[in-house]
Amino acid sequence: MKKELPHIKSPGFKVPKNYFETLEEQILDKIALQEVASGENPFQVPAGYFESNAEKAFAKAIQSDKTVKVIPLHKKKFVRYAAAVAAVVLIAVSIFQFQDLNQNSADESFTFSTLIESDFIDLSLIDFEYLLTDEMLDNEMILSSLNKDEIEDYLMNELDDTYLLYD
Amino acid sequence: MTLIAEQELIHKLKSENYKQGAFRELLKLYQERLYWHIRKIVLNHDDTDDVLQNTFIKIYNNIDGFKEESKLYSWMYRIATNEAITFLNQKAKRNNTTIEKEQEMAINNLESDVYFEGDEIQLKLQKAIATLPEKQQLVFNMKYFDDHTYEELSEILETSVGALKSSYHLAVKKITAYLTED
Repeated sequence: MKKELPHIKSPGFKVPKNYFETLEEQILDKIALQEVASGENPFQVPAGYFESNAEKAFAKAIQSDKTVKVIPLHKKKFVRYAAAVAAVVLIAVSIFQFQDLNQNSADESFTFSTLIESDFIDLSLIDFEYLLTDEMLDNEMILSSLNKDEIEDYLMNELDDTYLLYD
Repeated sequence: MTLIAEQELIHKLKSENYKQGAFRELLKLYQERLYWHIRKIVLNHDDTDDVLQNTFIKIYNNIDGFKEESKLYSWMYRIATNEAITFLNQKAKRNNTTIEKEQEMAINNLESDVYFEGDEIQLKLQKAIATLPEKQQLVFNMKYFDDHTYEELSEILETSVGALKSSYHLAVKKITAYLTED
């Protein structure tokens, strides 16, 4: 038996309610908008703006061409390696010195005063002033053990600037 | 629409003073027909709405270039068909897929589409149409649902009547086989 195409006269689609009633206005609005948009540009620029702007941009480009320094990437890499090597050497030396210092501090004879005496630490008069606290100055033990003349002689001989004596 | 009435409408559409009014008349006359033509190609209402609006904007913008070598409605149908096919191609490209895959997805979406009220056989018919090559789909839809004559189809699709007849019979054969298979 020969098969026949069934009679289906509608594809089964529908549209939203009132779609065709509003469609006409929607299309006309779109056309109106398009006509407004395709009209003359409402924005203006000063006369000769684009000509002078092009010249300015060209001049700037030439200027920037002169001042720009091109740094090759491979050189930059070399500097990095050199900096890394220098940092490693510096750390190694620091560790060595720190170990040496620790060995010295292990020595019982090593004191703060020996460092000053051997000129490892150079203290100025001002530094001494900061180091002397009120408590130290008021200490009767120190003062009582010293004779006034001895102190005066010491200060006269040792001080570079004797302004302290007049205070 | 009589030939004289159509010529008068074209004349008004090309005249600056009457263009707006004539275009409104054109919209009233053809918006529904072109809507259903496009809907059968793109299947989804929102896409149809976009394509239809673009079609009418193109008609408005290009009416001055209409050479009147064919009927006005044939020229409009041709614009609508091209717009719908271009739309589908662009959509497929955007989604990085083929036009066939895109159509398959549109058919699958029909079942949950609020603007599809077809029964089981209508849905199966849409699935059957989707299996046809593009040209056969166009010919089948326009002949089977819209009762266009072969002469009209020839003008719209710019294909010979003989080739159209052959396309339609081939399409009917394939669809019948699809619908009647178990």
